[in-house]
Amino acid sequence: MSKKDYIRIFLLLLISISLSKSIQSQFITNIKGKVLDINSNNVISDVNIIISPDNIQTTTNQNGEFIFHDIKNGSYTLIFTHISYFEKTEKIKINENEILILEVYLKRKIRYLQEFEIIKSTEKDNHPIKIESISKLELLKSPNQDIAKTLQSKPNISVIRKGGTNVDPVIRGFKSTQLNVTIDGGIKIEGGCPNRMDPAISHIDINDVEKIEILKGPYALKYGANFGGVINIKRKKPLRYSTFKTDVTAIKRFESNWNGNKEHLSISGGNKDFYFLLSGNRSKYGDYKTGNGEKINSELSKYNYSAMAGFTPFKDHNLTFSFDRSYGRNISFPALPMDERTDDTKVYSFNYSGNFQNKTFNKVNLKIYHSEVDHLMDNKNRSFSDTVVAISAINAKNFGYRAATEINIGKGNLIFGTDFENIKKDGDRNKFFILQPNLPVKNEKLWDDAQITNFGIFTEYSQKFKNTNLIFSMRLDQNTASSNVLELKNMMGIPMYYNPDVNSEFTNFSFSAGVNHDLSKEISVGFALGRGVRSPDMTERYIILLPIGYDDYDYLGNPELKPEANNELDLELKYKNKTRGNIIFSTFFSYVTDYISAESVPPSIIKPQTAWVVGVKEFINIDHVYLYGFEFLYSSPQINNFGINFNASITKGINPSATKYIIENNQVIDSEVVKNDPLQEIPPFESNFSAYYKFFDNRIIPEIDIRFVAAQNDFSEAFEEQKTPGFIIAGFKCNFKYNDNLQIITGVNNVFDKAYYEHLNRKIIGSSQALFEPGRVVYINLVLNI
Amino acid sequence: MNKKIINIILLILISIAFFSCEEKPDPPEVEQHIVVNFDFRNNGEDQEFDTMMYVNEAGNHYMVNEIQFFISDVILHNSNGSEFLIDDWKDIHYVDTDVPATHKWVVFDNIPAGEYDNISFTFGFIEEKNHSFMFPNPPERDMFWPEFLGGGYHYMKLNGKWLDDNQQISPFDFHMGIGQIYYSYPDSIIDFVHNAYEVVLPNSSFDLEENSTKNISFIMNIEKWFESPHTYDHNIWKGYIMQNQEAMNVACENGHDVFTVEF
Repeated sequence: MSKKDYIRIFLLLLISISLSKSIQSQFITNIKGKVLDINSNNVISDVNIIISPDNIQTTTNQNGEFIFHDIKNGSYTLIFTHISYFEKTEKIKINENEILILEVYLKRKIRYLQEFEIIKSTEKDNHPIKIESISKLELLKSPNQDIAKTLQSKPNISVIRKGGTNVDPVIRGFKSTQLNVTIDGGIKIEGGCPNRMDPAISHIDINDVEKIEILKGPYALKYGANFGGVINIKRKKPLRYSTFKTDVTAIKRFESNWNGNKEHLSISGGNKDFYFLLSGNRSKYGDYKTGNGEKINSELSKYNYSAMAGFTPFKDHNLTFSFDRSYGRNISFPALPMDERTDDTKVYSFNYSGNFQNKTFNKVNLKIYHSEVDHLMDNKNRSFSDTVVAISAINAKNFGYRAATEINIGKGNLIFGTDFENIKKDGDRNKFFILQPNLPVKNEKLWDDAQITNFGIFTEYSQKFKNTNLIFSMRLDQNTASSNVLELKNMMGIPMYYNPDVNSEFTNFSFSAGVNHDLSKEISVGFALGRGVRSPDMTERYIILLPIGYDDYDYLGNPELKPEANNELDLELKYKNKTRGNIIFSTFFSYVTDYISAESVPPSIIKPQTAWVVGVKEFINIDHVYLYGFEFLYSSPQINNFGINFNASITKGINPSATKYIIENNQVIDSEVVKNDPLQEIPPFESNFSAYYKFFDNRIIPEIDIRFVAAQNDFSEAFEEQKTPGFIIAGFKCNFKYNDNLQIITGVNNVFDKAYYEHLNRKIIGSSQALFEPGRVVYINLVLNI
Repeated sequence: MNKKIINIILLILISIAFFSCEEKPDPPEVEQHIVVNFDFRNNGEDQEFDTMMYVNEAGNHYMVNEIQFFISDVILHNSNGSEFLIDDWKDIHYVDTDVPATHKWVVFDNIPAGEYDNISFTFGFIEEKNHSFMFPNPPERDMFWPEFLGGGYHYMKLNGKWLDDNQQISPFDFHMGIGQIYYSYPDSIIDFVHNAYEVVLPNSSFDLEENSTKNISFIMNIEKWFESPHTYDHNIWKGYIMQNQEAMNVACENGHDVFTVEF
């Protein structure tokens, strides 16, 4: 970062703090209280409470509690609002030196029962494991309709862009299968494309999502093997009413620049015995223009339909079945050697949840799923298709289950269970040599009946003391892999490359421990330590020559790879103050052993098979690498309807000893060891600032945001990365809630039409030019709820 | 007292010995390399391209427009009887008169120091290494040998023109690769002939000293393709020989002494 960058960050911090200070009140008394359900007597969290006429507001915590500091003497009206409850107003009077304690009861508008999943303990306040979430409203407000792209609003989360859509998330420098992407806390999808043009996260439509949870680090072990973090996509569930009732939601979205149109329709309904959700989505986007007017091939067409139905055979026992069929058509990826021609995905799942209302034995949850992706891609829109047309077809299946039980042990809570995942992958590439007479065709296997099975058992124990939360977690995985032999045959069917040693089996032990301690009412400190072990994935083990990295190489799988292990340490400091705002500072250090990287293989052993690539790299384990970084967040209190948010983050990754090949005149002439080479595909320093104001009882909320990304000067020499310039972009959005039925969300992304690209964006294929981000995009979402 | 003094002296000596034992740095790695340069000559002079200034032994006036060829499996024959095969990084090198970068091969391999009696290589590729579509990128890609003629790659394309019997300037494609045995030309191929052959460079002995780089020039003497042991007459073999195994066989036999070496 340059001096200017530091000055900018300092100014942003200064503005944030001075703004928050300027809105501090000069009041002198307090109000405390708790909000409860009038029927069940249960506490209600997330109730919005506004003091009129001052319009100071707060929300209830997980225990239904709320607190106002330093309210002036006088008469006020408290307004309690919650999406599921009737609004309630309470008139109060504050006298000098009085602390007013209230107990407020709300009445449900409608009675519905949600299924539960055994993930509750991660949702507690001050949980030792760092959890961030993105709500439905945030997803609607997002300028991007890629789920992974919406995650970028959180610190230390970036994405790898290869086209207009289906970007791939990166959390603290960990990516692809280093992250555990799960749906509804247990369902997995294995993308078809070896180049991850369809990462698991891209197979779910954003309008079918209720909430996304991000759990950084190797700590949450109950969702499956976890190396660098968990992304849990929680899909919308049917609402259950006491008497049969239906809801309809329709969303229409338009985005300028690339003429993007997106539609969503869902119908949900049911009663206490039966419930259902039908949903459909359609998206069609064209080519986008960058800030310098360049057109990027980014067209896409997607549609899906899904159904979810369930019933309650006995009270507190629910059975739910669901399926989702999604289709992608002609999706362009200018940074990849091929475009997606078709992608047909099926996801079937069954869920059972039982609540035993027992003091010891709480809950049981079982999920069984099957997902299958048929992925077809070709290079027909690439310049090199004038000599060779290549078409690849891949079939990827994932079958699994997750069973978990939750019991109480004393004051603690114990979750234990088992999960299973079986991934099968098979695919071919047919190359048609159109320069030659008789159009010879060469068939190459990309995966040859490859299979990975992972069986795991897990447990998590958490306990809350007066000022301290503790959590311990561990899991044991048995991972086996097999495939037909890795071989590359010539036109005569004779192997040019042959590797018969394809089977492997590993037993991996992972564990984590965390503690969070409240030093005072305002300050808490969290500490977590964990080791997450990840077996090599399908690509790292078995891919047979395809350019899947940042660099211009065909990659070759290595069945003899060992699992890599992330040994991570996290420290978090939290400061929460109702009038000054909240500050969270997190820092982490990861020591990764047997890190899975890649090294060049001489053409005398194996030659590349893809046009434009310069050589072959084989996956290998390297002894160790380390990553470290921090995240800083500040959010001001929502006082006088005004608030600001600021975050800043950075990750550094170091390979202590990397091999760099010296190339002259397109010939490798030597190699050298680069000490402390930065890891490839690590994003640079980034900070985000946003400010909002709430008009007319929150009906209109305009918001501006500024994103500053520093230049990335720490780039991998061994992986031939290049320096990336920094940039600043600005955006504007406005949420207008006309009534309970109609909501309009509009905004402008990249207001000043800046031409820029992220460090993780791939290069346009066959060139050294990075794939630029879209220029100015104006978008509007119309949301209709009936 | 004496014992005490002796003990102190011993302690000091041991301490000095201990602290003076610095860790010896690893000996510097000894590396020897060769750099192969490719040159083209005709009758002892640098080859001139695109000019009808040469006359071959058959009396054909001809010009050369371009030459592209592969050599593989370069072996350095040590005087102690051992052989060193160049294949640490690559075992095939492509040379193109239109691509100057290919005229210099900086060999990656660390070659043992010593005396070498001679150098040999394969002109083209042996059958086991001549795989169709193994080069996805130009210029090597464009050396493909059609599948129906046996596949793989050309060993060499030597393109030029000659003044034919009718005093017309006609193109010749002196192309070498896999030959075909026809039952009835041109449709019924009953067998293929792998024409790649070994070249032993005459007068190619050299010494490679420790920590040195040896520059070696492989020189293609173009006139030799057409003169010994067979006189090659373009008027007989015409311009296109890819489907003429007899002509390619003549070319191969002539090709054994086409290359010379200079240090």
